[in-house]
Order: sequence, then C-alpha cells, then structure tokens
Amino acid sequence: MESFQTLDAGRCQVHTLPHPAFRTKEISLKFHLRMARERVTEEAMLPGVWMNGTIGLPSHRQIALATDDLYGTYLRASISKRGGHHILEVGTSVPDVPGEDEAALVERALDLALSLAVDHAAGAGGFSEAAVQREKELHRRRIRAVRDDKAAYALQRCHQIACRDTPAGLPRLGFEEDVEALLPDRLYEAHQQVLAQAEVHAYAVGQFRDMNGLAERLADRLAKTLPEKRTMRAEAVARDVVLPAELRDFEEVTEAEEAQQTQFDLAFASGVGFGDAEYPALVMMNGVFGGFAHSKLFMNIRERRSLAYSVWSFVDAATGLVTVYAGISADKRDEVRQIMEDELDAIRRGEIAVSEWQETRATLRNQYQQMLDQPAMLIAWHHHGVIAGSARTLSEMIAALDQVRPEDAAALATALRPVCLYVLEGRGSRA
Amino acid sequence: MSDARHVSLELPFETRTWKLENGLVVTLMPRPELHQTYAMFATRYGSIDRAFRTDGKVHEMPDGIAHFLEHKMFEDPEMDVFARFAAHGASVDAYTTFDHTAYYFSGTGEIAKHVGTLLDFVQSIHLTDENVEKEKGIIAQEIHMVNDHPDRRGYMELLKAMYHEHPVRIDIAGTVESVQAITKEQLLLCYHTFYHPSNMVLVIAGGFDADEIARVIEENQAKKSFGKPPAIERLYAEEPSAPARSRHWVHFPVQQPRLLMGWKEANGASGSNLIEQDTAMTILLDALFGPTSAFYQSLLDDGLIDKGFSAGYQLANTFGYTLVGGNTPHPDVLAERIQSHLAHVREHGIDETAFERARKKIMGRVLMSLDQNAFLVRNWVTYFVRGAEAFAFADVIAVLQTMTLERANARLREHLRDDNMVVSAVVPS
Repeated sequence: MESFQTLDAGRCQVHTLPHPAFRTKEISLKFHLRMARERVTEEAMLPGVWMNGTIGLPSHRQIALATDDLYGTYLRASISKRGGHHILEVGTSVPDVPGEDEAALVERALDLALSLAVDHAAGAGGFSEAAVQREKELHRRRIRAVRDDKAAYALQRCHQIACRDTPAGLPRLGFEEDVEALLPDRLYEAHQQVLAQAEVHAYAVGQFRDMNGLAERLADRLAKTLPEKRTMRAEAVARDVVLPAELRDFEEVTEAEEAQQTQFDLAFASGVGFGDAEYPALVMMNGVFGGFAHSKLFMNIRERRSLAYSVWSFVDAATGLVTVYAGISADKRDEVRQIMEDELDAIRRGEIAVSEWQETRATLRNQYQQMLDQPAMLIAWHHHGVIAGSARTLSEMIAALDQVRPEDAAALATALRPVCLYVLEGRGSRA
Repeated sequence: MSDARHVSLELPFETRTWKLENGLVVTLMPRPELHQTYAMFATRYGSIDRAFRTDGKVHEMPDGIAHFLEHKMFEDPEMDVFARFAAHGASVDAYTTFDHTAYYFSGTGEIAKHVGTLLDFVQSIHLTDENVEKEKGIIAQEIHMVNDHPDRRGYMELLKAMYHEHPVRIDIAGTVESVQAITKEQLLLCYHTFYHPSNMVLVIAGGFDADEIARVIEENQAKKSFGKPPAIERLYAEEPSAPARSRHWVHFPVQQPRLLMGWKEANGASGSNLIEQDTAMTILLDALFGPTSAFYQSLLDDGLIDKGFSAGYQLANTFGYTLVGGNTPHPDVLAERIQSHLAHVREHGIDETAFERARKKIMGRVLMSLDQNAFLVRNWVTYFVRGAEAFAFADVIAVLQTMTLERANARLREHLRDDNMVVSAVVPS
C-alpha cells in the first residue's frame, strides 16, 4: 500500500510517496538529533526563531505574506521529541488550485520551506538581536505555560521521572533557567550545529506531477545548503527503551495544585520499543488494557464505577512505557489504582475474552488504515521507523497484528514493571 | 499567480442529498479513493434548547440536559455500543454543542453495517433510574476537567459577560449541581421531542458505495415508525443587544494571562444569509488581525502577543459573536491597542490589498479542507443545523468569489463597535 521511495543523497535522504487521493501536497523537512542537557533549550527555540524571519524574508509578516500569496499554503516550523531525540521540522501543505500552474506553486512553497531552515545569518531576520530578545521572552512563557494543560503536564512529569538521567527524560522545550543566559550569537551557533550534525530526512507526499524530479531537486538543494559533512556524526539509531531489569526502585511522587481535578499517571516499563518484534503484541495488550472505549480500564473505572470521565492507557513507542492515565477525585486514588492493578493481573492470567481480542484487533487495524489517508501520519510513521531503526510499514504493522496471540499479550503484561506513579492532586478535587 | 476571484472550482466528488419520508435529510459524499469513511448523525438539539413548548405545554429543563442525553444514548441492554463498532473496526463518539448533538463513527470497512448500528443506537433509548444516577459521577469529572482548562474557562467567562439571558452563557455540560437535578423522565421527554428524524440529518463521506448505503438507510428507516413530527417551539428570553458587562477579569491558577475580547451580534442568522455573513467575517478578520497584517507584526514586535494570537467568528440562528485574543503579558495594553486599531480602520476602511490577499488565502484553505472527510462532514452538519439545508460547498466558494470590499467595510462598521464589545481576561490568581 504505502511504500516510500528513498533517494539517498548522502547528507540527506529524500522519501517520496505519490498518493492519488490527496489534493493537498505535503512537503516536510525533518532534522533530528540526540537530546543533551546543555543543548536542549537552544535547539527547542530554533523553529520559533526560524519563523521570525530569514535573510530573504526578514520578518514573520513577510513570511506570512509569501504564503498567503500561494493561496494560503501552510508553512510551519515546530519542535517535537521522540524518546531522547529532538525533531525540528519545517513543513508545508500546498493546495491544489484549479487553473493554477501546479509546478510553480510547489516550487515556490519548496523554496519557502528550504529557506526557513537554511537561509539565515547571524544578526539578521530571526537571529537579529531584537528578534532573539523577543523570542527568549516567548520561550520562557511557553515553558511556564506547559503547566496550564494539567493532563499534558502530569504525563510529561511522569515520563521525566521514569526516564530520569537519560536523554528521553529531558523536556521537549528545555529549561527556563537556560533561556536567560542565551546570547544571540550562541543561538546562531546552535543553528549551525543543528544543520551540521542532525540527520536530515525530507518527505513529499501527494499528487506531484514529477515526483522523481522533485526528489532530485530537493536532494540537490539540501546538499548545496547543508554543510557537506557532519562535524560529529549523530547516532542515527539510539535505543531509548526503558528496561525493566535496570530499573531503580519504584517512585511515587505527589504534587498539589489549585484545581478541581486530580491527574493520575502510572507508568510501567515494558522493555519493548517501536522497532522490536514484540511491538505489535505490546500494542494489542495495551488496547485490551486501556486503549479504547471497550477496554478493561474504560469499562471498569468509568462505565461500572463512574470514577472518571477520561481514563486511558497508551504506549510510548520510543521508551516502551505503558502509561495509565485517569482524571479523578483525589480521594479515589487508591480505589483507581487497585482497579488498574486488578485489570492488569487479569490480562496476566490470560483473562481476555475472544470478543475483547477481536474488537481490539479490528479497532487497531482501523486506526492504522485511517493513517493511510493522512499524509502527515504517513510521514510521521516512516520517520519514527527511521529513528527506531525499523523498516516496518503501516501495512506490515496491520498484518503483524493478525499474528499476535492472546498469550503473547499475557506474557508482555506479566513482564510489565511499574516505574513511576505521578499524581498531580487538585486541591479542590476531594469529593 | 492569478486572482482568486477567477478560480474555477469543480468538486472532486459527487454529493447526493435527499429527504426520506420520515423527514430525515441524508447527504452522501462517496470518495472511493479514500480508505476512511466518516459518518455523522445529528439532531438540532443543543445546550441552549433548555426551554421549549410542545402541545401547548412549556417545559424548562436543568442545564446540561442535552449533553447528559448524549452520554445516555450509548446505554443499550442489547449491545455495548462501543464494542459493536469496535468488533468491525470502527470507532464511535459524540459531542454536544450549543445548538446540536452529533453522533459519529469513523471506519475503514463494513460501512453498511456501521451505518445501521449508528441509526439503531441513536433511534432507541434505554433509561433506568439507576443508569441515569450512574452517569452523574462521570459527567461531574468531565465538568471538573473542563473547568481546569484556562482557555475553555476564559471562553465561557467571556460569554457570561456578553449575554444577559441567552443560554449560550451557560456551559454546555451544565454544572455539577444542575446535572444532579436531571431525571429519567426529563431525559425521555427531551429525547422524544428532539430526536424525531424530521429534526435530524445523516451525512457520510468517504470510501463507500453510494447506492448500497442509500439502500441500507432507506430500508433501515422504513422498518421504524416515529409518529408525527412534534411541533417544537424553542423559548428564549429577550436578549438586549448590548453586552451584560463590558469588562470581566477572572482570577485563575494560570501561568500566563490571556486576553479575550468579544463583539456581540444583535441577531443570529440562518440559511444563505448565514453563509454570506460568516464568509464576510472570515475575510474581514483575517485582513484585520491575521499574521500578514502590519498590526499583528507590531504586536509581535512589542512582545504583546505570541503566534497563537487569533480571531474567530461564530454565527448561529439565535446568537453570534466575534472573538479576538490570546496569551499576553499585558491584557489591558493589548486591549487598548486592538480598540484603537479598529477605530482607525473603521475610519479609513480596510486596505484593498489586504482584503484580496485574505480572499485568496481562504480560497486555498477551503480547497485543502476538501481532503479532510471529518472536517467536511462536521461543516456540512453545522450549516444544516443552522438552516442551510440545500447548502453546497460550491455556495461557499461562490460567496467567497463575489464578496466585495464594500460589504466587508460595512460589516466592520456595523459589528466591530465599541458599544457591543466585551474585554475579558484570565489572570493569575
């Protein structure tokens, strides 16, 4: 179904996928590198700085004017993390406008996307002193604002504790105390380091008239603008999976805040990551446990006992952590934890009904098939494979689900070890 | 690049709309090239429909009852609704807004089966005193979750300040107290009043066979009888055109302050008027506050906003408003800047280049949205609920192409005034 063609141009790889169903054309440039305490904050700031202006388009407004002129073509720069990798992305979505010259629209969008990542100079555009000062203030606020989304904040804290002292335990946006000390010159050096050291993968998905030509031009343009060799070869594949055997003692952390609801996050180490053969079984196990509205946790915590509105478990594919989340009243904490443990024990004993198993498999298959309709998801899946050193396509993942047996899921559940319970207690949430 | 006024648009798929004998309106958008099918079954019944008259009797319901009913529709002694969809690989969910309740599934196979399940579970109700009681704890947690979210909270606080009487000022889920008061009898009355097929719409887009699905829908509905459509009169208290308060500051445990300014429409709109006004406002707001405006850049330069600053417009049958705002370290200073910007543009008019640029951008965004089934279906349902039954995407494109600068300027002067404005902020407690 979805096979990317890869053009290996040495310094970068270009992955293309012609797709007749999409009228919107998607181009994405991804730069990824290992996170390190001393670099994490400056790297996290770069996409914001890029969007503030280039040499050719020195302000955010000028960038926006250029995209509006391309029929509202989306152009974005973002920072994300996957395990212990930072991913800096520049992406563009180009509309298919009847009567417009497609090649010209695509070419201009491509120019914009490339220039956003590489067309910079110290003291100019986003790296001008005034722009950097403003971005520092914004970044400081961004880091503080993580606390405003309590569910996301609690999950981040839980994973930071579970992955303490590893790159995967570093926060996506970095640290507030680093921001103050940053000088504009240092930020520009950080930018050059990213271009020099990051692994670079470019993607194009959609109905492009000349996909091969586009791939060659993309590779050529990247090769011309990126430093020829990496000054320090980044590790393309580094394993972030938290191993049960190497675990510290189980940690339980409770923090309190003014809120109506209490956030409950319990993380288990599975020892299995995205690229591992057992990954499909882990995903099936999680689906039965708390992945869906028909799952054990949803049925028992929400539907039978009315203890929560939101209750889920999910797999972090990079670290192999299986985390159970519930938004509850503070005084229900022990009751909720007991149900979670009871339900996990039931899976360990192999108590998985045939219907539960089939529903989970069908729902997962549906979820993966839907991703085939979404260019951004196709790109993300492929790129996750690149980072994990796995070449499993979505279609192969769907096929692999059929091979998983309930006893495989039971074995994985048995191997799960709790790593961390993080509770963000809402002071107003005692029922 | 050519001018957006002359783009010729042919939709990349066929749309088929018809009305069944029982009054249900069905729209199909078959798109065989896609894996996913997205289907939505919705009723014109939302949180604002709390007081109504049927058969000469006036009924007043506790706040949050439409949303409560949405939760209870998933209760069925014959089947676990979630599991029924899951068994054939689809996922099902629902949401309640101010003016409609929508049930939807997303699946990649056995679409005919799922469409039947969707119709069946929404067209039957199974309430007991016990299962009604059970839901109250779940909904209380949902209300707590929403109340802890600063953006959502700020939005509801603004509407509270804007409206004196209109129930759009009340949270969709109600309060923990109002939900406690809801009874099985009240839920049944609302169900039988608002879930008649003549008050509903079914919209499906994606990879399915249109003839087969049309037949499944017809057969499914022919087997059921719903009686005569009830005559519903929705009752709203008189709403003054001026806002209830012009300034509203809320203290909240939040890391960074947010400003949210609102402008109240004196009236709602429906049908083609709604589409026209909605489109005019979309262009106008982008020209005034979008990232290409010099105003936006000056706010960024002065550290008053971040790139999340935005403007939006809502227009329904009985209410409408513009919202502008975002994170800011200085809510008062930002509010003043926005007010003086508007005063200036009201006097001098919108820049023609900015207007054309906004038109072109929005045209491209509409074209890109055609790739998104879920977005298409939701939009279609919303326009239907708001009285644009024979609506088509081509209408939106046509309105977009014929919109004039004069009309946008007139809208600006008529709507974005100082005397219908509310300035609100969420600030750290």
